[in-house]
Amino acid sequence: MSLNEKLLEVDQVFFSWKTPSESQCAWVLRNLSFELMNGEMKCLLGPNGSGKSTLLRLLSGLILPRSGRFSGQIRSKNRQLLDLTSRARAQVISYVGSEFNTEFPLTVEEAVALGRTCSGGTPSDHLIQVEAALELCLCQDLRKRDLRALSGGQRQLAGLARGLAQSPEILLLDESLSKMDLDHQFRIAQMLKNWVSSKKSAILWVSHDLNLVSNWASSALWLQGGEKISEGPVSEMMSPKMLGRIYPSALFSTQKKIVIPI
Amino acid sequence: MACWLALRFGATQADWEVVRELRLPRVILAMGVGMGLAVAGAVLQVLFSNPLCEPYILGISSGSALGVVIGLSLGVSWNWGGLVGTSFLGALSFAVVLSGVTHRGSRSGSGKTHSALLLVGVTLGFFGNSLLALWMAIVEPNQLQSAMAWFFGDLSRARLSGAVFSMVAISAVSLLIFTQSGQLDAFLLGDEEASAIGVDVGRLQKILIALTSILVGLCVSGAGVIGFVGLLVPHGVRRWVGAGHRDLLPLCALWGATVLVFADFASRWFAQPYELPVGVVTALVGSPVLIWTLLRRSQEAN
Repeated sequence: MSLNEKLLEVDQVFFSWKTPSESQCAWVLRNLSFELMNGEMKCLLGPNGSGKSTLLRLLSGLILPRSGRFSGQIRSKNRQLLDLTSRARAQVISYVGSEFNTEFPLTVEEAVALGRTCSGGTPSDHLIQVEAALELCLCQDLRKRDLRALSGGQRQLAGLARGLAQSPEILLLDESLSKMDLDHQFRIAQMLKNWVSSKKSAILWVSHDLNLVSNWASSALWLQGGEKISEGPVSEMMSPKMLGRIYPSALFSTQKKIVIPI
Repeated sequence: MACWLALRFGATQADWEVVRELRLPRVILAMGVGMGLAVAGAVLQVLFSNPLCEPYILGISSGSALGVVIGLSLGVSWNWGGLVGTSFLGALSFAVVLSGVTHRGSRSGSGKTHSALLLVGVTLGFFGNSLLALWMAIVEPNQLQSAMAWFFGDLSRARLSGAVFSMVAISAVSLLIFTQSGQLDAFLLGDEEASAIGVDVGRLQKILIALTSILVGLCVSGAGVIGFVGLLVPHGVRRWVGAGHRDLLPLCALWGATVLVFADFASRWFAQPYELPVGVVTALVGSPVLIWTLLRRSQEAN
């Protein structure tokens, strides 16, 4: 494995939902290109409706390209990601949303083990991965609890454990730490950073919590109206000028300062 | 078993005829139909992420009964396959409408479609039932008795060959569903998570809706509309062995069969010398339990 390997290449991607006529076509993603290297933890930032979640859902197969208008290429290590079967894709990419719940009696342990459904390997492999994921996500005390009886933050821990149990090359996080308390956020973000560098994997992280991501992510990408505005190391992406451009009222009209540690 | 024991203790030729021609087919049909309904209920619940689903509540049984009735009036014969086919088509068309309507509402995947699903199901049920009522209004009076069977479920018309056919076919389809246990388990976390885990959600949904419709078609063409078995059996079994389908599905089949055989005994025993339709018995027991379950769920939510 080379030192710097492109785990994900998004190349000139356009996407829009189906509209009655070509002229009304409103691009949700417009000419989006970026790369994700191994060991990288990239946060995807932007205002509501800027296309962050749509991108993650496209990458993880929750939105099928044929359900809308799509052009462009998405590659992962020279494979066309969108051509993979769901099973093969799940071995490359794992998506973790902000909700993780069930309507049925299911313990945390069982729910996390479901992450192994489409991973090949022996039962002992499965057991090892599930144990590791439970430990990484601080779920060991929760393992026998019914998922439905947990708090939102605890369920997010379990959801993340499910994502890690899948042992993916790329982890997609969509507000996956949003309901955790400060302490858990800190410990989980620390864990994710270690995981990314030790497993030579990558994380693409959608969040509105600028404090959190600016402390932990290595790079950042700003999206607005489905277009990439700027991309670079996270320290350079949090300038007052950039923030003012994206969030005008938060910085200026209320006359209150937001704090972003660098 | 009881029949067999009775035979050992000096049964006459006439008794033997009764057992072979009436009781045995009836027990076999009850077992098959109970099994099919319970398995179909378990699958629908996990497929729609809603523990209150079952073929009857979702209106799929009504669609199936409508299929039988339309088949009858078009002169399709009872010979194997004929009415089961139209029954299956009725069930399938209602199930497809149901999943189409509910999935349209949730393109972005925010899964708050629970009440919508049940409402659409209940509405479909009303629609199917009113068409059935229309058919009953125009049917010849001497067919009215058999028409009632499609409304309330009736095992008394069982014949040996038909019952055995239903039993074998329902077992085979249930076995096919059982082979999908691992994928079904992933659905316990909702279809979005199932997709993230690597299940081809669209394909699996289509397969399961088709298989469930076949099950419902077989059950309804054999015994008419019987409610609540598909709701209560998976519920009870899940509380007992958990939600994993490798244990759940076989036990649902077993308990579904047992429950319907006993419900049928009860239907003959309650109002002797008359018979209640077995669907009345399951509804009398099932509906209070459903309401109790609903109350408990709303308490848990608070």
